Amino acid sequence: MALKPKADTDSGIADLNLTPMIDVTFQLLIFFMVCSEMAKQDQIAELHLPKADAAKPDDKPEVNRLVINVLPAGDGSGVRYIVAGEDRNDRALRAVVYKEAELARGEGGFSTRPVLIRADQDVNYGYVQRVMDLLMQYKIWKISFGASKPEVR
Amino acid sequence: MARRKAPTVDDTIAQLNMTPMIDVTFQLLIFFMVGMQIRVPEGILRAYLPKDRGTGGRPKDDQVPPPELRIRLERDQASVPGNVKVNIFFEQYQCESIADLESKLLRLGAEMSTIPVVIDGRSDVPFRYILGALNACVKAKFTEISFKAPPPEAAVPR
Repeated sequence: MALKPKADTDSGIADLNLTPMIDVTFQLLIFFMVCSEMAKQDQIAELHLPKADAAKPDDKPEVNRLVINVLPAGDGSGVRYIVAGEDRNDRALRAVVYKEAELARGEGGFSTRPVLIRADQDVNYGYVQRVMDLLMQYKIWKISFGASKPEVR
Repeated sequence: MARRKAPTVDDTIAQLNMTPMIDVTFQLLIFFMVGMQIRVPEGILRAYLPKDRGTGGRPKDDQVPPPELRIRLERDQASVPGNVKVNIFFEQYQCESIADLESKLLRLGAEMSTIPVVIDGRSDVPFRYILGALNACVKAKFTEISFKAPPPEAAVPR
């Protein structure tokens, strides 16, 4: 009976089949590339929206919608107003709202510019009231509030 | 002189060095794993600011104010930072929570849903309670939901 030659160490390494591992790695890579969302200008990671299960999906946002983010200042005093990725103080916020309202001035002097207020769940309502008051002063009436949908259990 | 054997196709495939490609792939994989953010599903609640009665607006003397339902939210005086307690009133009734307010609104039924609802929140109430009240009104199918104007001292600084 002929003896089978014993496989040496080198040929054992050469036979290691890497194909399934590479397949799985590429699958994972494609999964994470597709799922990962590049940071959008108006979406801020540290802003925690309040939950509202009646909120409608924001899949078809209006063209030229003004987004005003209201989030707590890091030092615990007051808030930050962020529009188009930039911090705005009260004066700058007023200027932006005025400009946007003028660009869409319609019938009866009312502005048709839609505004989305994305306010953090923990900011005091008074800061949001300021924004609403400002919008009313410039006759902007079409607003919406950003909310997160509660997790489905 | 012995002639060298020419490399076959099989030999060429076997010699392909996969290590740099696997290295780069793993680097990319780690980059996307670390950089990925789990996105919370987001939605919007539509609202309309009053066109005819702005902040501080009041009805004319000869006008009878229309009936309205009022939701009042006040910060409890016993609240401490980090544990805010809010008192929620629907008309004269005090609600235990936003869920309680929602059940009261739902109990009114569809025939009451055309009556305007005014959300009167104090400026020191966390915004999640205001949105919770708005959410409750939307769920109860109220169509005319407005917000009480802030007092003059809370107006936007010039």
